[in-house]
Amino acid sequence: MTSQKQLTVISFSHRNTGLDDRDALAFKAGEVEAFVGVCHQTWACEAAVLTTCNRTEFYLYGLRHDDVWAHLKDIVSELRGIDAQDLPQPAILKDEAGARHLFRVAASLESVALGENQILAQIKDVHDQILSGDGKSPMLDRLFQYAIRVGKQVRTDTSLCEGALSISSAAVDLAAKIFGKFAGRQILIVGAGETAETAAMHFSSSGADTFIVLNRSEDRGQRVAQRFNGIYRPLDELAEACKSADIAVFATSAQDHLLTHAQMKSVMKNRKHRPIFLIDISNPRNVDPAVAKLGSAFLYNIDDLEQVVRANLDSRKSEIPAVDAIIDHMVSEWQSWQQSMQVTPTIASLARFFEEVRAQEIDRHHNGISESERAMLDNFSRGLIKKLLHNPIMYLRSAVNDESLSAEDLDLVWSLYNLDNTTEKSDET
Amino acid sequence: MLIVLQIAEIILPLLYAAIFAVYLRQFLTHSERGDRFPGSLLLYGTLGFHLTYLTAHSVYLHHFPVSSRAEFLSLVALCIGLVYAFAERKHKEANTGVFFIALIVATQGWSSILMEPSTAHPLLHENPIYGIHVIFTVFGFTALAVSALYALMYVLLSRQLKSRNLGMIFRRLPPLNTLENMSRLSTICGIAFLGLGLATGHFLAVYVLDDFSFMDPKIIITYIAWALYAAGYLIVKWRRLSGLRMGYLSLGAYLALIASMVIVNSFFNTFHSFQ
Repeated sequence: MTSQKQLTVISFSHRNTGLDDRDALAFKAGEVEAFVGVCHQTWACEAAVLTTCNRTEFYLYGLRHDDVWAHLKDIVSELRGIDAQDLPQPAILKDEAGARHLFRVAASLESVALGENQILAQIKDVHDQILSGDGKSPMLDRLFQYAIRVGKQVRTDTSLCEGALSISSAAVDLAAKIFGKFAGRQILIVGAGETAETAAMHFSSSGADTFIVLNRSEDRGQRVAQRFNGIYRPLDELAEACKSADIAVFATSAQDHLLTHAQMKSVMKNRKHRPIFLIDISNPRNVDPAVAKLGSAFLYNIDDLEQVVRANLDSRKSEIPAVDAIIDHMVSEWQSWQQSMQVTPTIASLARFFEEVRAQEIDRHHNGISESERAMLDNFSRGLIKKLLHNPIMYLRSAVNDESLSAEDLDLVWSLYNLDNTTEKSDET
Repeated sequence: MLIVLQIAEIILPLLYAAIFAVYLRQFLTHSERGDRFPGSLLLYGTLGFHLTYLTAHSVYLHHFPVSSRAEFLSLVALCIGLVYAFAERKHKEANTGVFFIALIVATQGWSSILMEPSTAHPLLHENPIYGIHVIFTVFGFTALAVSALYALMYVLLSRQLKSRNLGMIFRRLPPLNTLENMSRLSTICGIAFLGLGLATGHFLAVYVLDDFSFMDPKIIITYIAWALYAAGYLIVKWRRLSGLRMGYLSLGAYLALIASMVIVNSFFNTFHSFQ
């Protein structure tokens, strides 16, 4: 059984597929190319593959089968070397639902971390692949253009992607709000465990380049210091080290306060009350909470950072209605464009027919007229045809936009001008 | 010419209002742009137009734009715009613009409402040295006001960070370090222009005015304020002081300056009046 050309999205994502299956389905660049090539050659349909660590999705346009997945299953299993029986059941979305799904993905509403930014770059990569592919994919090209527009608009007009969602990145965000850029800023890493290293890594990837590692065990301290091109200092020198530091991350298993209010008061006096950001992500706490009362000492412990993360997530969630509105608007734009494409072959045939008649008539009379008269006649006839075609074309476009155009209307146009004899009719209503 | 000036007086607040809308959108959405922020270009263009308008106004009416309240307000609006635009350009940070542009809209709007095509003014207002003296002084005081506003933003952001109640101010204002640097840049502008204003005023008093007393309270206050600001700035720079205390100090210094000016204007007869 066949049906009209349509958009079909076959989705394996974190919502319906386990991690092992997602790993097994992750397409490599060469496999994407092979898959798209097979779709073009076998079914003359447009195809694209979006593959990330959380999803593998197939976007197909023009495949005239109701059970698309049954046809693709074997290709996917062959390309990935998986037994077709072992493939999980995908989510299959068609037409409007498919377009809406892609726009939600681009907006990062479908991501594991709501509002993450990486997905937009990945969608741009897929669009680049569509443009650089061998076969033409005008519908998917336009669909992904709309998706990129959604992604950009969501990130410009809403706060969906603002605010960190992990403890370490929240700490980095807060530090950035005090110091701006981290280059040249001195960062103390107190402790040499996994948590301390992760925090240091976040600061390093955000541009920090001056690290001092303080630890009880010199071996471990030296190892972490070397990893970040920093220097090691014994833990006893903590107060002294704080005098010149801008940011201090505390992540040790010490049972007492390593930095007391009295120590910090003296440190602040010594550093002339220059701001310092103290991040205490240890349990029990390493920094006396009373330190927060000192003027330019900004102290955040693990509870504070968790509160920041929760607030950020709430803030992102509150943006969802605004994002949905953007998606609704873009879905309707996509549908309008798609509908307008349905009459494009008729309009093209009509224009071609009129042009042929015009050219024939001009040729028929060219013997009796001069070059300048011919040029004048040429201009006149072109203008006349443009005016004659204006109303029918406008009617077709507006009728398709307000969904009042029927197949009979199109048949009438084709019959009136006998267009079937000159062009193959390919409109769909 | 008069009709051109009157049209410019209508256009200016409208242009600033449009720029305010662009900066407000930037503040609310905080879109990260790889290319140049269009509001900045609009602002530079409008400031150029404003400068041209005030110059044409001065040439046509044969006096510096300090003879009426309306002229003075328009000059203040231009000064706020120039100081802010300089700070924004230097630090590539447009997210504080909304506050300053709002001030400019109010000041220029008020000026445009009050502006009258009157040419009645004291002869002194045609003197170039007097004009330069007033423009420098107004520029200096405005720059110090801009610096105080940045200090206020610093204090507000610091307090939000300390209270862990991270709201709109936290999300939209630039980092504390940037606010501090913008405040310092404005202070340097203020000290430099106020210094030049005082120097030209001194020159004017000695060589142009016949009957002049250096004991005018407004002059004394201005000299003291300038000296304190200059000394304060040098100490801060020399001792590398920064942080919340400096924010409070900067804010306090400007409030003290305003308070002393209000007291002088209220209780002493002074020749220094723009009326």
